Amino acid sequence: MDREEQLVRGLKRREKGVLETLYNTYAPPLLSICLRYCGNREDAEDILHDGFMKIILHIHTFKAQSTGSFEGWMKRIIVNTSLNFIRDHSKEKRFLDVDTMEEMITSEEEMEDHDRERVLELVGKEHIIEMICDLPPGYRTIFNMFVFEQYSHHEIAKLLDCSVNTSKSQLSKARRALRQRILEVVEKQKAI
Amino acid sequence: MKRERHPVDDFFKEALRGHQVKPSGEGKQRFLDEAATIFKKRRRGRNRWIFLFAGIAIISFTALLVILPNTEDHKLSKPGNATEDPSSESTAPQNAMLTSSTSPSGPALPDDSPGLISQSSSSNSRPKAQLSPALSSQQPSDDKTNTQPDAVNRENLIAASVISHDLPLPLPLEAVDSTLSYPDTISAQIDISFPVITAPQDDTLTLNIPESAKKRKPKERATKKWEFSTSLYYTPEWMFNTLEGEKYVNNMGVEGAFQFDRYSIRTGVGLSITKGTNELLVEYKDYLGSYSRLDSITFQWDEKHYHLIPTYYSSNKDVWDSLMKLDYPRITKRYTYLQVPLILGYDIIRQNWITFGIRAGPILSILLESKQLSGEYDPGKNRIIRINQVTPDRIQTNWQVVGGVNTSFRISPRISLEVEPNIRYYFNSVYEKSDATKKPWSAGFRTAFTIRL
Repeated sequence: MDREEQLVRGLKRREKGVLETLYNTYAPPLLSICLRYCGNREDAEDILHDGFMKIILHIHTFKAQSTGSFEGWMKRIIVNTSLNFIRDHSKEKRFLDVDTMEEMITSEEEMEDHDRERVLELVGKEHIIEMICDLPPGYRTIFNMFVFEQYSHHEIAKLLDCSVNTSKSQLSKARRALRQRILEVVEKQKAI
Repeated sequence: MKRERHPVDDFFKEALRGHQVKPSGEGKQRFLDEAATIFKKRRRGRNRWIFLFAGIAIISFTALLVILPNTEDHKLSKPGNATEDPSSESTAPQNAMLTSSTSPSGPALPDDSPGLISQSSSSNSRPKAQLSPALSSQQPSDDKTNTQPDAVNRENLIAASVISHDLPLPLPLEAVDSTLSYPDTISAQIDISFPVITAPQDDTLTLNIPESAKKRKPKERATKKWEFSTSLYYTPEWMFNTLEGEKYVNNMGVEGAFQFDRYSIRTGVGLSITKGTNELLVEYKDYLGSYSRLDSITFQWDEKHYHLIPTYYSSNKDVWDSLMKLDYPRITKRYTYLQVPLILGYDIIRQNWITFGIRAGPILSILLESKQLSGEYDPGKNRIIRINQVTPDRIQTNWQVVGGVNTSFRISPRISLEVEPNIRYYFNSVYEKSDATKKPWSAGFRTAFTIRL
């Protein structure tokens, strides 16, 4: 029996000490997901808490399919909790219109020219997550769903109650904004 | 459909692969505290069931312990102090004895008997021998010849006891126990200073059991080979492994049973009533308010004042948020099943007042009614986009197998009470989507009031 299976069994049987193991093992990667979606640490911790509570309340519905399926199941819960949080906390218009977007995008340079690894060295992982967090909520949500959760535009449109074209345009704009940020950081680093 | 790939996507995906953020200690403590509360609640519930089942097991075990000794022959004899032959002799003092023995020759109980009684019986009756404190060791017999002159029936023995009360005290008594179901000889010195009755003080109470009698089985309930009975039953049941965790079910009904010797078959009809909570997933949009929308304006020329008079036509319009929200309301339903059991049984132990046996068999459950107990979900002025049922509906037909141990207490020749702790296994899930949960099982405690026809 692998560790994941043991953990699930322990949770279903409500064994002592299993909660701490669950939190210590999975809280850091799941908190990273929460942070990507909500953009700030405080909200991310709230989402993580709500997500974990849902996990332990609905653990009896989890059926292990293969190794790693538990982590996948938890990630889905965390992503859904994050989306609910965003829906509940963003009364304002989430999707920026084209004019606002144009102001943000000043560069059309392609990123393919840069060596990815070199860029990553220059930028650093902390800055990468910050770049995503700094995106406007609409861009950030769609970018996360499309890139990390592998949702299609149709699924995103359905989940966020927007049109497929909105999803596509928001993703495109998110990419441009991120590319711009990367270039800025790279230029800054080069200058140093 | 092939997904579009983009260098920015790949860059961020690769950069954040395995990215972790260490949560704060406060968050961890908050989660552990809240989760521990939930765990404790569930654990407490589980302990309650464990105690309940342990209690049932202890009661059943104690009942077995009470019943089983009654099925074995009592060996009260002290070897070497009595004769084994029914015709063996018991000693009686010549002048202070009332000698009684049951034999075809009839009773011969002298009314003027002195204080000693010598009894010998070969009857099967087993009345409680009120042996007086000092048994025969104090007065060993010196005559090994048979002193069973006459047979005495039970009434005679009672008469003898009555007579003995009138005798001067202390009066020695030598008795051969006529209460045993074989012609043993028992010598006892009985102090008839009643009403104080004490246990035998010495080891000389002798009761020899012939081998033939030892092999004899205990007396069984004198019943006819077959019989019909009908019963009203109630079974509280605790079901496990459902989507809603543990569930409490009430089962009740009427059953008829046919009993042939130790075997029985039981069937009938009953109702099984349980409550269930159904979770819904409601997608909705928040109601933000309403406004008066201008539909049209008409103008009329006011010739008197020489200007246009506008008439506005408007309608009230509600406004909802463009964001879709999710809600998980719960509704409570009551499910009523018709149950048809077919239970086979075998009685392991049958006594006059108690029967202990095993019962097992299938039960068919058919959903008769599902009634909503809680009110309908009220969205208020919110706009409902979609309602999905998270908890699947209950299945229409369900098969179970039940097994248990049955103890029946006869409170009158025709009426008895039954208790039957049992375990039930459901062959299929109680939900329509069978993969939603594992197959449930349950523990129940059947109680029944039975009348023999």
